[in-house]
Parts: sequence; C-alpha cells; structure tokens
Amino acid sequence: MPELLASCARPAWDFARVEELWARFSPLTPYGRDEKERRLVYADRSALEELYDLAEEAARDLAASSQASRDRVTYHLRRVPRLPFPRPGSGEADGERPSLELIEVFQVKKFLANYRAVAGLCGEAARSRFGLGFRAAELAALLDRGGSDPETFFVADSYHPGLPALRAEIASVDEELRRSRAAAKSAALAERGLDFGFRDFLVLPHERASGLLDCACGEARFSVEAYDGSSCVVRLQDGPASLLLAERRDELAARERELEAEALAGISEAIGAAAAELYGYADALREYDLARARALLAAELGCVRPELGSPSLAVEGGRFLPLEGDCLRLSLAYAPLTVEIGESAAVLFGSNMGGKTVALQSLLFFQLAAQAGLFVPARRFATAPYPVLRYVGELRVPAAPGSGPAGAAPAGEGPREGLSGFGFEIRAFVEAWEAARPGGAFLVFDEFARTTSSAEAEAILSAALGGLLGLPGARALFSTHFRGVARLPGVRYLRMRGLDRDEAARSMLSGEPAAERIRRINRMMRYEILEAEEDSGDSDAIAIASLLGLDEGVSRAAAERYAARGRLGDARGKET
Amino acid sequence: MTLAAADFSGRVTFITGPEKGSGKTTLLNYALGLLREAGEAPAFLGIGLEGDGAAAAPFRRSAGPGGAAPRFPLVSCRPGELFLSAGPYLRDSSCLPEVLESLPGSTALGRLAVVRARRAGRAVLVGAERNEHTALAIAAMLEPGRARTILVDGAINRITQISSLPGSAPPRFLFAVRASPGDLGRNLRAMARVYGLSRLPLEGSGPLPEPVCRVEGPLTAATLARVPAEARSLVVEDLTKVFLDERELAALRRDRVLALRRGLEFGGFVVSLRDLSPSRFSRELGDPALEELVAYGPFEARVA
Repeated sequence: MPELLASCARPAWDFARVEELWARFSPLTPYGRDEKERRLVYADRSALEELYDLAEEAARDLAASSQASRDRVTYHLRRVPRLPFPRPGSGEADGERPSLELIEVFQVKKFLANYRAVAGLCGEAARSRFGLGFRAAELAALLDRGGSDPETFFVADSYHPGLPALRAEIASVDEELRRSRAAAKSAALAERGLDFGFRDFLVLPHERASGLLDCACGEARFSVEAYDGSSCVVRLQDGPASLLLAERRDELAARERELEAEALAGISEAIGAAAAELYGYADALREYDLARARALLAAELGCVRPELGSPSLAVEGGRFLPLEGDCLRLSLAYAPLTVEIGESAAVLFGSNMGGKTVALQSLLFFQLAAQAGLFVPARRFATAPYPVLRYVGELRVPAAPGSGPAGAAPAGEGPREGLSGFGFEIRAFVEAWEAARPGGAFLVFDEFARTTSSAEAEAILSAALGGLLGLPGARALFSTHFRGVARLPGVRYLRMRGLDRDEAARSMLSGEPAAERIRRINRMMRYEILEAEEDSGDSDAIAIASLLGLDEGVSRAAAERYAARGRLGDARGKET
Repeated sequence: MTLAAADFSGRVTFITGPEKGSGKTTLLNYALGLLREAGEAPAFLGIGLEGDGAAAAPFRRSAGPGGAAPRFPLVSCRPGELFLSAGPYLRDSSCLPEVLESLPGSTALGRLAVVRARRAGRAVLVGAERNEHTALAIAAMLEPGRARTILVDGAINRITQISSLPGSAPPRFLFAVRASPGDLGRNLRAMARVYGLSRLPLEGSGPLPEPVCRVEGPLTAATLARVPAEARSLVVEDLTKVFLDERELAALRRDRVLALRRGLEFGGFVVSLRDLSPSRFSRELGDPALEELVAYGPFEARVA
C-alpha cells in the first residue's frame, strides 16, 4: 500500500531534499498533476515494478516518435481539462444529474479532442499498454457539430430542429433594427447636425438640448436628461416600430434560450451515458502522463531503473542531484557516491565537513526516489522497498527562494513540547523503533545522541545498533563522529575519506594566505566512503583546525594528545 | 491629447481609474466604438466584480454570495468579438456565444470562459477574481487567430501579473477621471500621483545611488519604515506596488530615488468634466506636461 508521505515520511523527504527532484517531475494533465501532489511513496514491490514498466514503455514510445510528434503530445496533454462532472460511483454523482452548462459541454469536447489527439500520436504498443483506446466516436461526432474548431463549442442550429428558423428570424429582426437605428442617426445628422457616429449619446448645452425635447428624428425620438448645470445628455430612442421589433427580439431570444436549454439537456444526456467511459479515458491519460513524465525525467537526468528485491543496498555512481547542483553553482567538484552495504546496519564515521551527512542524505534520496516510482540518478541502484522510511536527526530545511532563512528543527513526529534536545532525539528514536517493529523500515540516524556526553552517546549508539539488528526487515544507517561505538557482528563500519592530507600539507607548507586556505577547504575534502578499518588514525578535525588558522603549537599538541588515545576502537572522545 | 483606434490597436490596454464611477466602462465602450469603426474585432474583459455606473453602460445585477448584488457591465458586442463571462451569464448574452477557453476552477459566479460572439448582442462581463486567471484569459484571447487588441476594464492594482504578457506590444494603461468642483482637488492629486509614478526611473536604465534596497511586495508606510536608513535608492516591482500617498511619496523622493523593476506604459488621462470647463480644469492642473496627456471627455462628444 502506498504511504502518504505528508503523514509519515515528510522529515525523511525534507532531509533528503527529494522535493528538489520532485519539482522537476512534470506531468502535464490536471489528473497527472493531482497525483504528483499526493507524493505517494510506495512500499509494494509489484506496484513499483509496474510503475517502472510503464515508464519504460513510455520511454520506448518517446524514442520511437519524432520530435514534432513529442511536441504535439506535450501540447495536447497540457490542454486536457478536467471533466466537469463527478466520477460515476464516487457518491458525488448520486441522484439526478443536472444538465451541463455551455462551458461544461465545451470542457467535455476539449477533453475528448485532446485525448483523441494524444491517443492518435502514441504508438500502438503504448496505446495498448495504457489503455488509450477510443470508443466514444458517437459522442465526439455529436460534440463536433457545435464549434468552429475541434475544441470550441456553441449550440449549433443542428442541435434542435427549432433553432434554424428561430435564429433566421432573429437575424432578420436584428438587421431591421440595425437599419432603423442607422437611419435615425443619419436623420439626426442631416436634420439637426448631430453626429452620433458610433456613440450612444451626446452632451449638448441646455439651450440646444431643450430644443430637442419632443422632437422626432425619422422614426426615433430624442431623450434628454441633465448632465450638469449647463449640459444635457441626449440619446436617440427607438420609435414605435423599432420598439415593437426590440420586443419581438426579446421574445425570440427567450424562446431561443429554451430551445438551447433543451439541446444542452440532450447533449448532457449523451455525455452522462458515456461518463464512465470518459473517466476511463481520464485514468488512462493520467497513467500515460505520469509514465511519460517519469521517462522524460529519467532521460533528462541520466537515471537508471532501480533493482528492487536486492538483499544489499548498492549504489554505483549515484548523484545526489541537489548537492550536485549546489556544487555546480559554487564551482566545486561533485563526487558521485559508490557503496554497497549488505549488512542490515551500517555506521558511517567521519569528521565534521567530511560529508557523512551528505552520504546519508544521498542514500535516502535514492531510496525515496525509487519508492516514489522514479528512476534514480546513478549507474546502478539496488535496494528493497520498505514500508516505513524514517529520518532521525536535526532537520535543516534548505531555504526556498523567497522563503527566508533555512530553519533547523529536530525531525520526527509526535508530541515533543517541553523536551530538551536529548529528549527530542530519544523520542524520535523510540518512534522510529516502534514504526519499524511490525514489518521493517529504512531508518537513517544522523549524528544520533549528539546532545549528550561522548561516553553516554557511544553506549546509547552501541545499544541501539544491537537492538536494531534484532528487528527483522530493518535497515539502519547511522552517521557519527563518536569512534567508540561498539563493533558488533552484522554491522558494517565505514568512514568518509575526508581531508586530502597531502594537499592540506602542501597548502600549509606553501605559505598560502589563511583566507585562501579556508576558501579551499571544501576542495580538499574527498567525499568517498571507505571501510572504517582503513582509517589512518589521524584526526581530520585537527588538520582542518590548522587550515582554519589554529595556532601551530596548539594544533601539534592536539594531534599528539589524539594519537595518544589510540586508534579506532580505542578512541573514546569526540574527534572534533 | 486625442484618442484614436491606433492608440488601442494591437495591444492590451487597461482602463483604470481612481475610484468607482470614474468612467472606466464608458471609456471602454468608446474605445470599442473606435476600434469597430477601424474594422477591428477586439476582445474585452473586466476585472473583479463591479464596473462603474456610467449612463452609457447598463449593468446586470445578480445575487452574489451572502445576498450581495454585484453588478456586471453589459456591453454591446459584434460578431467575432471576444469577451470573458461566467456560465450563468452566457445564457443571457444574446450573442450566440462560442466557448473558446475555460479558466481553471470555478468561482462563486460559476465557471469563467473566454467566448466569441457569433452574432451581435450584449455581453455580460464577469471578471476573474484572481489576477493569474485574468492573465490566463488574456493569453487565451491573444492566441493566434483570435484577437490582437484587448481592452481591460479594471482597477490599477490588478495589472501587475499581466504586464509581461508575451506576443503583443507592451501593455499600457489609461486613467479615467470624472471630476466636478466638489472633488476636483482629490482628482487632481490622484492624477499628479499617477503621473509621478509613471515617470519613475526603471532599474537598469541608469545608475542608482547606493546602497539600493529592493522592496518585495507592496511599498506602504509600514514597509517604508523597515527600509534601512542608509538606503539611498528603493526599487519596487512596478508602480502598482506603491501604496504611498502624495505626501509620503514626496517625502520619500526628497531623500531617496524610487525606481521600478518593470515599467508599465502610461497612455494618458481621459477626463470627464461636470460643471467644470476644460480651461478651469487645465488652470487648476497647472502642469503643461501633464496637460499634454489629458483627453477631455472624448466619449461625450460635446456639441457646441
């Protein structure tokens, strides 16, 4: 069953910046856009495989079509309106359905015109796969009778046997009225020197206007009313014959409205009879639109179909697109992520600025993208779908344009008022634990237990790791800079490669100005994941502190003290 | 200044005014007359719920939400002309309307649609409640083969989103004023304010004194108070975002430069006088540059 992201996985979605990818996912029809807005995260493998299959079918169809054809499909998908009546059986349509208005019939016609165009432009395989058939030819022919092009609509004469004669009479009366009024204006000019032209009224001095009172002008008469203290508004009023014509025109118009209402009722009935069929088309269009949008996004971003059902979490050349974009803007090199984790739990060590949070964000980004039905920006991504996706850690929401500064708040759900930072963390862990217990989960813990002392944190982390190992179907990823976490069987211990010490040493020896060194720190970091055992034993934090200008003697003393504490499992303090 | 069909042809023109009853709809009808005489089939629409009560423009009353009775301009239309209306009002339009486009969603007044008159009749103009829907309606009217000239009857603060519409000459606005001795001062001040705003420099057209403060959204007395004291220039999106009165504007411009990110072309003032002569109005106006932009009561066609 799909999980509605807003209620459960929102902190994970935000932490992994998936919204930045989602914003580029662009279904074009209102039905496709509605589905996008739901942000469904699927846990069912077969449902996801079906979405991937559909995206691949759409990709094949796109590849087989010309650019002109693709552009036309885009054009028609954008023009599809919503159907203007409720879905049959939805409960909204109970009872007698009222007759559709002119605009609503137009919407049905426009829907059908664009649906037929899309279906006609698709290849046979896609048409069959998405169910883009067309069986409403009779209705389409009925609607095509009213309108000067395939999308527009008016109540044409042919919709009611009484309309042609009635409208002919209206045209005749209109013409007589037009002639009569034009004659009155001509007479006003010829007899009184008053040029109304296209105007409905003139403003005349009192003296001149008063001379027009009770005066005839051909068949018409002048009407005079005060405008201000010295002027009057003068109009030409219909004479008796024109008044009779206007009255006749009103009667004919009223009768025309009745006949048009009868015509619209008949058309509405035909539409009502095809309502289920039309909603079937809307469903097919939605699926095609979504699959096409997935395929286009995958092609645009160089994405790969996720391999589901893998016992490992594996990514090759995975690109965390939001960060890749940030790096591009800052002219920094971006290192794609490659890692394979077969164990159900992994701990990622690393110094501050070393990229361990980004590594967690990246893995969660790929996982959520895959479970939202999207292909993943990587050469390969293998995983399994999880019913629960949770993130526990501080939530730094990137500032959207115009939204003010980024906010930071602990992520998770449930009542947290009055809790300290530590209280928040533990509550979030408890909730994630409870959510994971029934059927497995994908859990990400960024700097868990960072709010307590190092000894306590290491104890809690170690115990949490042990506990999570016992949860069937759970995959847990931790980042921490506490090196004293217990080494447990079944847990993978990794570290970020971190600072390129050779380059840092060269920088220090070159006498490079401090400002330039600081600016280049990011470029000296190597965002690769290594086995923790490959740790050099040197402290990145102390080296970075040196680059940042910490006194040389203080840096050296810190390095000596750190080395004295031993390497890897012997270390018991905060690295930084 | 004299108004002619060429002033409106091939572009979007907003007819605005300082308040209700300033002659906007009457001017709309006059502009339509000019264009028809020139052989054009223009498109026209209103913005919001209420037009003004000019004698030449009858209004259709309708019970609105909560029993209110909004008024909609009822405008004569010719075959081929486009307008914006709502479903229930199309039934009464008498011009055999053909629906060309519907706007998203549904308003309290029903669904809105861009329609084309297939014969002469009367069009009930119902405006969109949201600016972006007005922009959509105008874009639909400007589609190839539909209309090249559009007249919009509406308040000046509704222009913003439409000022960058592609595919036609830059939109511009006219300011309609109906003045009498009792409200002369108020109208003259409103005209001076609009004239001043229309002449504000555009960002990028020349150097602005530093530091420059960019104001997002409306510039009101309250937002002005939050502008850093050291700012020497203020930039706002366009003139419709300036909500300062003449006194506040004058005070601001004594110390700082006020500039606009986006310009709106100003077409001039259309002034209708009651119990006032043009010569007295001109004397009171007291600014020859402003006077050059005034058309006196063109639609009234005074005959001496």
